[in-house]
Formats: sequence, C-alpha cells, structure tokens
Amino acid sequence: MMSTLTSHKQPSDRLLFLRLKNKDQAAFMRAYEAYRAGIYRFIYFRVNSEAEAQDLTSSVFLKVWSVVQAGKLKDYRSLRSLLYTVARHTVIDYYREGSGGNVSLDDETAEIEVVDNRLDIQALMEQDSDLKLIYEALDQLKPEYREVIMLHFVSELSVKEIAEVIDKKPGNVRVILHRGLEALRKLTKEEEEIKQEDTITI
Amino acid sequence: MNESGIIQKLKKLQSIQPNKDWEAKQHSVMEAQVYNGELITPREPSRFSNFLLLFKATFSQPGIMVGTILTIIIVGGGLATYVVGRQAKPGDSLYFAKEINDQVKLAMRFDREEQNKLKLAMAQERVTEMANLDKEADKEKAEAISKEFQATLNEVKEGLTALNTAPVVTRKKEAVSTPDNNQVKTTEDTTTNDATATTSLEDGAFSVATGQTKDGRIEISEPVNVSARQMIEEAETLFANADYDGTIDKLQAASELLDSAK
Repeated sequence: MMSTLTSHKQPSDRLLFLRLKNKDQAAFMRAYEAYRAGIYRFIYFRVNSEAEAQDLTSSVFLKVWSVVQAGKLKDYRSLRSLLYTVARHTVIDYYREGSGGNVSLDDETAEIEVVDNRLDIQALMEQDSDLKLIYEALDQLKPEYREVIMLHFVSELSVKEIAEVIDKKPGNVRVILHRGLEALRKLTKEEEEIKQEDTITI
Repeated sequence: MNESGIIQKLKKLQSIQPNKDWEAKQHSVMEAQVYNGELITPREPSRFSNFLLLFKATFSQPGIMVGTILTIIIVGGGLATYVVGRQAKPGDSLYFAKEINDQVKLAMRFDREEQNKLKLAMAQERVTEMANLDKEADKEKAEAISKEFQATLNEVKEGLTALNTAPVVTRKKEAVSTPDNNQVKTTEDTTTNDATATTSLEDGAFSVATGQTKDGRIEISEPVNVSARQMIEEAETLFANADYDGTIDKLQAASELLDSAK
C-alpha cells in the first residue's frame, strides 16, 4: 500500500482542498505530508510537550479525515485555514479536558523513543540570545497576541487565513498583529535593559 | 531590537521540526487509517480532471458566475455591434457603431498627416457604399452618404490647409500625341523635394498645369498639400458625376501623394 505520492509535483492548496471535498484519499495524504510539520509546530508551542504535540497533531488529521469521509467539509478559504482551525480547537479542547486528554492514535506511537523539542529550542536559544529574549517575552504576551503572531510569522498564514482560523474580521487581525508586535517589542526592550543593568552591576 | 529584527528571530522558530522516527511511523498509521487497510496504489487524477475541478469550483461561485455572464454579454454584444456595424450604411440603425469605430481609429492617430490619410480611406469607403447603393430606392441613404463623404473631405482639406510647412513637390508633365485618334495622353511624375518617392498617373490626373516648359515637359513645383487638395477637389467633382471608380483612384492618388511627402 505504500504510496508513490512523493514522486509527483505538489498540487496547490486550493486544488487539494477541492479534491478533499471529493473524498480523495491521495489528496488527504498529500495534505498530511505538506502540513504535518506546521501543525505540529503550532501545537507544540501551545502545549510545550513533544509527546502531547505528536498525539494532538495526529488527532487533528484524523478529525479532518473523518469530516472528509462524512462529506461534511465546509468551504474554507484554504486547506491551511481548515487545518489550523481544527488544530486550534483541538488544543482548546485539550486544555478544557485537562492535560491528560486521551488523544493517542494507538499504543504503537508510545513506543517511539523521542528527543524532546525543548532540547532543540534550548540549542537555538544558546546560539541566539536575542531569540531567547523574544521567546521569553512571548510567554508574557496576551494569549490573543501570541496566537496571532505565531500564526502569522511562524506558521506563515495570511491575515485573511488567520481571520478564518480565529473567527475574527481581517481588520481585527491586523490590529491584534500590530498591537502584539508593539507589545513584544516593548517587552524585549525591557528585558534588554534589565540584562544590561545586571551586566553593569556585576 | 526593532520590529523587523523581532520578525526575523520569530521565523527562526520554524526550524523546530517533529521527530523523524515519529513522522515515519505516523505516516504508516495515517495511511492505514485513510486507505482502511486496502492494498491499493493511490492514483493521482489527471491534469484535465484537476482543471475541471478548479473550473467547476471557481465558476460555481455566484459572484464569479454573475460577473462572467455580464462580461460575456457586454463583450459579446460589443463585438456583435462592431461586426454588424461595419456593414452598416449611413441611415442604418447600427451606423453609429461604425462612426464610433472610425472616431476611435482617428483618435489613435496623433500625426495629422496620418489622420488625413485615414479620412481619405474613410471617404473611399463612402464612395464604395454609394457605388453599391440603389440610389432610386434609398434616396435618404444616398443623401446621407454624400453628406458624410463631403464632410470627411472638407475635414481633410482643412487639415491640409493647416499644414503650413508642407514639403514641395515637383510634377513633370509630358505631352505625347497618339496617332490613332489625335488624343493627347499625359503622363506625370510626381516627386517630392527629398526625391524619395515618385507617383505616375495617367490621363488627366492633374488638371493644374502651370510652370516652366523644359524639354517638352511641364514642371510644376508646389507644396504637397496644395497638390493633394487639388486632387481631392477633382475627386469631389468625379463623385458628383457618379464616376465612383475615378473618385476612388483620385483619393488613392492623394493618399499616396501624402504618403510620399513623409
């Protein structure tokens, strides 16, 4: 059953979405390959646990597939909008149910030995002190600001796609993005000043 | 750190990737779920199927469908009016389309000489229309064509008058006696002052013959616009006498004369 999907040119997001509406299995697997990493990253930065992010990522795609199979796929601006909307709601449900939400696909996944992404992030921070400043400042941001900033600059969704994901108007998204960046800049500046003072004191 | 610096750093977070082993394992699990354990090789749809899918999805949207229909009506109607209008004669209901077309063509020409040449061509069209018209049955149309013809030529003459710096043309006339019926045949060479073009016309192509006689030839030097104007006036006379072939020849000669003066 191994597919030969990777040998083909990647079709457009819109075409994949339309094919999904026709319950196209190959299109779903292509979408899975194309967006798995992005969805994983989006979830990882929300739950801060690699294992949970893996389970929730699988859960997102299975939910989408069940909707596709049921023929209940609504019209979205893009396939990305659909996937990130489902991912967002999956994370919200995860927190509502408590961190022990049962989202595992099967027991096999639990056997995989994983290296926690925190090590990757720590390595990144060590290489780049400015990134560490920003990452810490992100934690202090309002969740609304953080979500839009991450969706736009890390997941690379357009303003219109974000509007669809968080169910707001594009104009509101632009305002949130602007204010979020401004808040992040101020927080980063404050952190920089504190660090400089510490250095002088030492 | 400024805003662009912050954005640059944020993009570095894209380097966080899921574990490769998990990815490989999960791919198999997902395939099993999607294909429900069937041993099939997924088949990609053809390009044509993809095109049809996109086409159907795009044109099933109400806004795009209405816009497309309106565009087809407007463009199709415009084209139909243009095509039918080209066959229309003065007095026909769709003649306005032809007039608009002519005006557009004129507006596209910024050179006055080019405008004059186009007007001469338009006047030739009026002559052809007149030649093909049943004048007894369509007196009104015949009258309208005549007016249109006259108005067009008047515009050309005005245009020629405005060309004060027109180049000088030298015409050489040679009188040749034909032995059979003692008719005098006249040949003409028309040359512009830059000696780049020559027009030969026969049998009364020029009625004005003033100037100096030299070796049996009559040389006339005058501005091109004056010569062209004379030709147009002769064309008007020919048209009035219902000599439509002669009129067209004369207008054509005037047009070539203007062309040679460039």
